[in-house]
Amino acid sequence: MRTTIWVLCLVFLATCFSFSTGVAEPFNEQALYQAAKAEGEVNIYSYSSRVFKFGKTFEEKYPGIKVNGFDMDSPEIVTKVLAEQAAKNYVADVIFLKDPATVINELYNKKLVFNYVPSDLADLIPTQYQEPLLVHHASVDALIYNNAKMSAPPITSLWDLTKPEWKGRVIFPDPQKLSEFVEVLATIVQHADEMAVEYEKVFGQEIKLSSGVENAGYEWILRLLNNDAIIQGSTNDVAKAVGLSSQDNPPVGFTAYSRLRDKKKDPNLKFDVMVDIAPVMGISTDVVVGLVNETKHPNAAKLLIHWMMGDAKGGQGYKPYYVLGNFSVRKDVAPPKGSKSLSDLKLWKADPNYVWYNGQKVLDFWLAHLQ
Amino acid sequence: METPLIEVKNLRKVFGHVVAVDNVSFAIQEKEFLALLGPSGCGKTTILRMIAGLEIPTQGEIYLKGRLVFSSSKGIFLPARERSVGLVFQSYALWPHMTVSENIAFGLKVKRENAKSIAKKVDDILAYMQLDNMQKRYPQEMSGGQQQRVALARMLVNKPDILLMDEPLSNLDAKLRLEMRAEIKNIHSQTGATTVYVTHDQVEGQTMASHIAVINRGLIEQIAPPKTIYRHPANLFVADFIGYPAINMIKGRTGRQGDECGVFVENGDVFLRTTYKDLPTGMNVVAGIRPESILIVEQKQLNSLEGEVRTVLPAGPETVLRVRCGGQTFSLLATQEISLSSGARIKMVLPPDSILVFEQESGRLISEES
Amino acid sequence: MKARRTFLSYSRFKNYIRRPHIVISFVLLAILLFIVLLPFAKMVKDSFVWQFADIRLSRHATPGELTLFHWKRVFASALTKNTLLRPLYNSLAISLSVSACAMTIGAFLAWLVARTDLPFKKSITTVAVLPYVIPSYIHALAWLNLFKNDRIGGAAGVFQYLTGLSPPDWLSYGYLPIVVTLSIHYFPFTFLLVSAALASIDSRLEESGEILGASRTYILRRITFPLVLPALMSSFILTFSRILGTFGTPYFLGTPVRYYTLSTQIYANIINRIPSVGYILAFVLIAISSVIIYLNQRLIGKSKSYVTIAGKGFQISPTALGRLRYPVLGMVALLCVMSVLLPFLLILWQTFALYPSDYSLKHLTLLFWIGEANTAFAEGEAGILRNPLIIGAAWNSIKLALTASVLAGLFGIFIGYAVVKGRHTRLSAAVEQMSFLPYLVPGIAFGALYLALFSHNIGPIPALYGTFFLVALVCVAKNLPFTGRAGITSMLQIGSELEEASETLGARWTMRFRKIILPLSIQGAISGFVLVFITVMRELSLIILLVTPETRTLTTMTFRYQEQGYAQFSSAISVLIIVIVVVGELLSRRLGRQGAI
Repeated sequence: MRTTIWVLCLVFLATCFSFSTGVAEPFNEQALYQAAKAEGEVNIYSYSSRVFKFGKTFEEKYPGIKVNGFDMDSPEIVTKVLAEQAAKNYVADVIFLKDPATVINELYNKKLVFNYVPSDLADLIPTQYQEPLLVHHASVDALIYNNAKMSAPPITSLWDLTKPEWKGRVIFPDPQKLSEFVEVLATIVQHADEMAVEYEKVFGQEIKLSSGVENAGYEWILRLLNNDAIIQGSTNDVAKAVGLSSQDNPPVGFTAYSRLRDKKKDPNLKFDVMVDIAPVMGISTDVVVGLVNETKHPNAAKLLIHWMMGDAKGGQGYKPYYVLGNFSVRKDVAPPKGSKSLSDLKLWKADPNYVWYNGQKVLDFWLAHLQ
Repeated sequence: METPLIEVKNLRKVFGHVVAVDNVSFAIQEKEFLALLGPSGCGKTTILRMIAGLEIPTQGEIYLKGRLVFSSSKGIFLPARERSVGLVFQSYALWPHMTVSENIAFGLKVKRENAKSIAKKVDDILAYMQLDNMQKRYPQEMSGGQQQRVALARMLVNKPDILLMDEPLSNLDAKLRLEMRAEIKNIHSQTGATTVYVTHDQVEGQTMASHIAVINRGLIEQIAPPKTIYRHPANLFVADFIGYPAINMIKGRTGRQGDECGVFVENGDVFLRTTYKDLPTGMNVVAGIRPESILIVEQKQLNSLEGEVRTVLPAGPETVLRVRCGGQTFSLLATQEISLSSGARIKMVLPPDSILVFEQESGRLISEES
Repeated sequence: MKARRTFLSYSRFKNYIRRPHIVISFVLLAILLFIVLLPFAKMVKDSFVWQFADIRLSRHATPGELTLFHWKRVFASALTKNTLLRPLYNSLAISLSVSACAMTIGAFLAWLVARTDLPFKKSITTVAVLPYVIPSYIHALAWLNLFKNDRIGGAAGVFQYLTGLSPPDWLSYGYLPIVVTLSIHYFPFTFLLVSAALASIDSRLEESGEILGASRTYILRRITFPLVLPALMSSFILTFSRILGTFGTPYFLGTPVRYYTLSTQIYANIINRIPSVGYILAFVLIAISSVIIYLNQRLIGKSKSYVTIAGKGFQISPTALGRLRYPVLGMVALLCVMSVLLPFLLILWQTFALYPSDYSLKHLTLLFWIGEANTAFAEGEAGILRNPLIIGAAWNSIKLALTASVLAGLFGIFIGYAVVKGRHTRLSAAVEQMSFLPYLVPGIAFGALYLALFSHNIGPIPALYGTFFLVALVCVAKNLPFTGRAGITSMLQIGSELEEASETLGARWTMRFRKIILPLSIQGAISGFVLVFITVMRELSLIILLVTPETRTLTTMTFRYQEQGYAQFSSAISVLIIVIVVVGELLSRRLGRQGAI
């Protein structure tokens, strides 16, 4: 009886904390755990199936709280949360997904999803990754080549992909299916000026835009498509198409940096990321995490988010993402072995605001010029 | 006069643009047996279904046992289940998923009779219909005749005052039909239930009914006892429809020969004397005579015609002769032995008292009194 | 006078209402309005209104305001070619080719079974129906397991594993594999229709030809063929219109090479939250289907109303195949192996492969069936027989299929009753037509509409999104055209007299329904019930957008795993689906045989 009252008090307190704004309150893991235990479970919609891994370690660390992880595509998570909120049938407690542009505009701005930054992490994460939604990690999409058949990266510039010798040998993921590649394309368009400068460097002359094409970014997309780029349905498939060791004349491809982990699962895969590409080797996009409005398990949800963010050594909760190609936003976490830190890589960072207003336009351009 | 048991007034039924029943009125007294007789599609089944409450008339009124069960003007319609009439369908409509007992007991169960009384009544009716030991059978395991009996039993077990039957015998073979005809007539006389019986078979109507209503294109052509219908058909349609072989019809023009009224036929060459006292002369008419009324004679005499035998159709005790005479073929029905063969020339007499005269234009029978 | 008239019209109205089928018709109309017409109206409306996410498409977008933007986008923009024209061309090409192939194979097989001395006819009939029972996209997955090449799709299939040759793209993806797999899936449909037609032909028609000295081929050409022509046409047209909206197969076999059809474009647009464009593309499909079905009715005429009274008792003596008997049997056996056994084995084999493209015996494993959650493999998910998510999904699937089939079956009986009883009235026609409408709406669009519509409360009806009921409801609505038709057919066969007989005996409507109509129509309903059960069991496009984590089904799990490249998991779940569906089918045949008196 007494324990029950005690727990109830804690729940009450924790609830008070959870609805007060700001990150001033000290993070009290034990109080949060007790309150979360009373809630019993937490539902998380995740863009990645690795949710099952950190869910399992969470359950081991915090017995009594069950993690129901649900693996879906990012657009589907948005669609589902919108429907749940409209129907007042609240299932998701935490969402963990890509495409921050959509999340911010469709969910965050409508107050259907809230930001939660565990107070103990406030100083450990650069503020740009704390607003408007907490970024869990940055993911990089970059070019890969088959390092079994080729001794060195075969290209040095993004514009090389538009050259005749790569006709039909560039693999690009389908942006119609994978929203982060809309971010990639939009970011390239956003940096059209730098693309134009790079063009001159590669071809020795000023870029001549095709008729109706706005800038060098679009021009690059157009030439890529006209160069018979092969479109793939998933980053997984790009990695396989490039990396399978059995082929003689392997293509290069754009894919998720983190696909490097596939090599462990399939010994036939041989590929590596090309780091020295101008003007950038890739585009970094944010993976965000947020608390859903009207969550029934607010404390468990917060505890889970805290767990996902890991600790200074990476941590069990972050472990599934502590891989090549994923970059923790924590200042205190060193990049995985063999990886540079995010700031050391030549990257453009996707800007959610730009993507929201231009992504579809870029995608339309892409669709209109598909062969 | 007592109130009729069934009374139908100005009944009309329209399906889309088709008038199925047109302004039909009739009344049936208690214990009468009315046959609705007519060619298929004439609307007789529709009339029956309207009486049963299965079809909603477009217009008119229906009284059952003095109670108004339908009135278009008063907006009254009693559904079938509240009219307590018994109906036997042409298809028998036995429920294939129920045994004979279950089929028969259905109506009693609806009335929530107790199980014991139901069982007894079912057994009694089955014995009565000679269907003992058939309780557990399913309809489709029985012969057509047996199914017919079950259908009758299912209706009779409820002891309805009004029996409605829709061509119940049309699916049986000739021998069974004859048997069941007697059976139904017997049931009618035993139960005394007022019966309306739909058929296209004139023999059925004539053998069973106390009254026949001949129906054509949704209209009642004549309603009368069978003998009247046969002897004094109200019009050419009834005359032609009733009787087999069909009545012989000879076109002609009325006239007189001396005091006798008659019909000039065969371009005026032959005068057929009739027993009519008075006929307006010069009128286009049709003279009708039943095949059995025509007699074969040796000598030429009054009202006699000569013709050539075309076909001889012996059928047991009777023989039908087809005789060509002038531009017309006559049917003769002879009950005596006939030793003629086709090609033979014969003389035949059309007895004046057997000749019916119809107006050619309207087809109406000219009544003898006029 | 006026008062009298009011009274009269009131009592007339009362009489009108008193007839049960009228009441049922109105209740049905109300429900159909809710589950069929409302979604349809929403679809029309949304195509003309700016949606919130449209701000991404145009600076001028003001959510909620009217606009022609979406229509222009589809029909007159730079995207028209890739959004509308190419997918339309592909959809039509696939539909035409598959209908033609399926019709040829199915009709030939039906003739072999019905009219020749081919041995093992019974077994052939049993097996030939199975491809139709298996979800069509499973054939697509099997195809991928066999012919996937490494140039585009990464992990190669068995073909490349065994021969070392990489199959060309046109063999791995796109038009050809889609047509082949869908033909395999749809030929049983023609087979069933034509078999029924052949069985219902009065053998005397053919025999009189024989007596007049006509040769067998002449009879086939001049008597049999014209008689089954309506069935052939129907099967062609029904296959055609169903393939137009098919989603799973073109998704798995087409999208990797960007071979889009209208159905996959609808999906892409809806997922990308431009549902208005998806709806407009759905309208294009609806328009084509409507025209085709209208043409079908015009061509075949009203005389042919699908009435097939099976079993005339006599059968014309079978045509002897002579020396061809065993070669033909071989061909048929090959067809059965290719359409049933091979896909199943391919799927099964895949589930034992440790690595997706490695089919060697030394790397076979039961991990994906009974493996414990192991973080080294498959992102730590347990084998499907140990995986609570999958077991939960299996129960959901079975529960959904049972619920939907019972509800749709009952609904069908009521539709049949209302339509047949009220024949030739406008009310009856309205019920019939409205219940047919879902047939025309592609499953994926129908699902999207339900998502959009039932996320909010509608008047007193609470928001249904997230409930199991909503998923069941969409399955019921989509299957109404079939159960409704079955209900009408069975009610026509029962005839009205059986009910009328009980009515004259004083039975109220509830009793008539319980004791007469329901027991009599249940036998006809069982086949409809099984059809819906199987359809829902393999349903993908319709529910993919509606399932929530709690209501996910086996099919949606397959889809998910396949998309993420876990071929072993998706294959293992497919095996599970096949087993459930085939067991269901065989069980129902058992039941059907016992039930048929």
